[in-house]
Amino acid sequence: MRLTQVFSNGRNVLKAARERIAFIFDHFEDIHVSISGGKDSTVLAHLALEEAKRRGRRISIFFLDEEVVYQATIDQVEYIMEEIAPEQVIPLWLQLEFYLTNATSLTETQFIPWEAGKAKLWLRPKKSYAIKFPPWDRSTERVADKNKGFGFYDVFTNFERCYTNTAFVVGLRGVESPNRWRTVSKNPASIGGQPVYWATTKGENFSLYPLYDWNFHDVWKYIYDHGLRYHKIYDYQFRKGYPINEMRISSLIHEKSFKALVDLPEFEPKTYDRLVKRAKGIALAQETGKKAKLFRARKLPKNYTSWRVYRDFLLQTHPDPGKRDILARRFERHLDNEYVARQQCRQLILNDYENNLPVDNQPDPKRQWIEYYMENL
Amino acid sequence: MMFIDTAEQYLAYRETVQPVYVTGKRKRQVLIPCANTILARREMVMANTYNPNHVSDDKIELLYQSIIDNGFAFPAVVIWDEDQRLFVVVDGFHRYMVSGPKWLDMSHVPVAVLAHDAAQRMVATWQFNKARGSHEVDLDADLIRALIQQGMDEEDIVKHLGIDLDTVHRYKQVTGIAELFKNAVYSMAWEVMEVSDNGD
Repeated sequence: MRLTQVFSNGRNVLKAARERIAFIFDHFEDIHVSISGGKDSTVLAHLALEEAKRRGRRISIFFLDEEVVYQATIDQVEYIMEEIAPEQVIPLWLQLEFYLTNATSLTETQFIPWEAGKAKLWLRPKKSYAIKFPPWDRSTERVADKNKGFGFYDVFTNFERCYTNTAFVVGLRGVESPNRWRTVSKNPASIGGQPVYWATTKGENFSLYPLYDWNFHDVWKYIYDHGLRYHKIYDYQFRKGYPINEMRISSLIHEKSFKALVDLPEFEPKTYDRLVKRAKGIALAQETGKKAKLFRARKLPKNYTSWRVYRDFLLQTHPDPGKRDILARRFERHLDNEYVARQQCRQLILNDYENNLPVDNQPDPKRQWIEYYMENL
Repeated sequence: MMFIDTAEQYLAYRETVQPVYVTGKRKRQVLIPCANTILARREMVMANTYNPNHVSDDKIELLYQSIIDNGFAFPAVVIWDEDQRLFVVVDGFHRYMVSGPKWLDMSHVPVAVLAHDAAQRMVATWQFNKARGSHEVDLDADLIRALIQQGMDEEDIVKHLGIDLDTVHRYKQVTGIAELFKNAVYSMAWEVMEVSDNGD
C-alpha cells in the first residue's frame, strides 16, 4: 500500500476547508487556532471563527509573541483577536520569557523576549489581557535542548501539555512546507474511528492542518473576497518588487532574517529604531545584510587567499571560547575543502553554533569537475 | 562669487577668507563652510580614493535630472591637498561626477573647503554617507499618489523621480495586493489516500 494524492471531483479548496473545519468542530470541544499574523493564519482564524459563530461556540486563538516583531504583526493579531468575532474568541496571547537565537550578534547570542528588568527597552508594553507568566507546572517543565535553554518550541510543548483532547489547528500549507507536510500525511491521526491524513497526534492532543491543499492565490482570493485586513508588510514587499509567492513575514532576529532587517528601516522606521536599542548587532546586520560578502559568505574578502584561511582566522578570533569550541569540534568532523570551508565561514559569521544552517559536507564539486576534465581531456 | 582657476589664486584667496560661524545652543559656534563656497575650475578638483559609498546608475541618472531641474543647490565638500595642490572631494563625489564631461561638462564646480587632515577627511566622508536617511516606502507611495492627483503624468514621474514605470504602478496601488486576486479561481481540493501498489 502507498499514499497518493487524489483530486476531489468539483470540490474546491474553500469548500473542502469549510468541511474540514466543521469536522474539527464536530469532534472536539476545545479548539485552539495558532496564528502568526501572516496571511495563512488570518484565513484560518477567519474560517474557524465563522464556524464558531454559526454554532455559537468559543474557540481559543493562540499567539506566541516574540516581542521583536513588526508593529504590523501586532496590528494584525489585534484585528484577529478583537475585531473579526470577539464574542467567539478566547485570547491566548503569550508574552513571557524564553530564549531566541540572535544571529546578528557574536556576544549576545541568545535574546530573551520580555526580559525582566528591561521593560523600558521592550519594543512595546505588554498587552493588558496577555498571559504573562507560564501557566504550566514549572517543576515538570520540558526543555528539548538543555544547552540552548528554554526555547521557542518549548513554549508550545509545555503550553500544550496543559490540555488534553484538544485540537491545535495550524495554517500549514503543503506546497509551502513539503517536508513538514510529508511527515503529517505519513502519520495520520485517528479521529472518530477514521484515519485523518491532514492531522497528527501530539501527546494527548491533535494537530490539524485544514488548509494543507491551499495555494497562495487561494489565500489571497479568500482575503479579497471576504474583505479581510492583512499584514501591512505584504503591501510594502509588493511595492518593493518582491515576487508574490516569496512574500513572507519573517522573524526579525533569527538566522534567516537578514533580508527582513535590510528593508525594516523603510517599512517600519520606528520599529527599527527601537530594535537597534533593544538587541545587539542589528545595525551592522541591517547595513551588510544585502551585501553578499559579510553575512552570506558568498564572496571571499579580498585580504584572504582561501576560504580555509578565512575560516581559521574567524575561529582564532571568535570572541566566545565556549561557542568557538562547539564550532571547532564540529568542523573537525568535516571534510577539508574549499566548498565545505565556505559554509563553515558562514556558520562562524552567523555564530550558528546551534547548526541551524547545516554544512553540506561533500567533496568540492568544482574540484571534482576539474579532476574529471584533467583525466578525460 | 569667487571663481578659482589656479592654485596660486586659491592660496591668495585663502589668506583673505573669514570663516563664518552661527551661534547655536549653549553658545556653541557652528562653522558654516558652505557660506564660503567658491567656484573651482573643474580640473582642480579630484575624487578621493576611499569613498565606500556606491550609488547605483539609476540614482546617478536621478541626480543628473535633479541638477537640471533644481540647479547646483549644494557645493561638493572638499579639502585642499597641499602636496598635489588640488581639491579632494570628501562628500558630493557624485555631484562632482555629474558636473563632468560625460554629463553636464561644466567649467567650474561649486565647492566648500574644509580644513581637515587625512583621518578627519575619511571620518567626514563616512558621516556624510551614513547620516543620510532611507525613504519610507509608505511615504514614497503617498508622494507618488499625490503627484498623480495633482495631474503629473506617469512618464514625468519616471523621469523626475528616477524610478521605472513598474514601480510607479506598484506605488499607485491604493487597494493593495489582495485586489490582484479578485478574479482568481480557487484550486481544486485534494486528499491523501491509500492505494494498493498494483494500482487498483
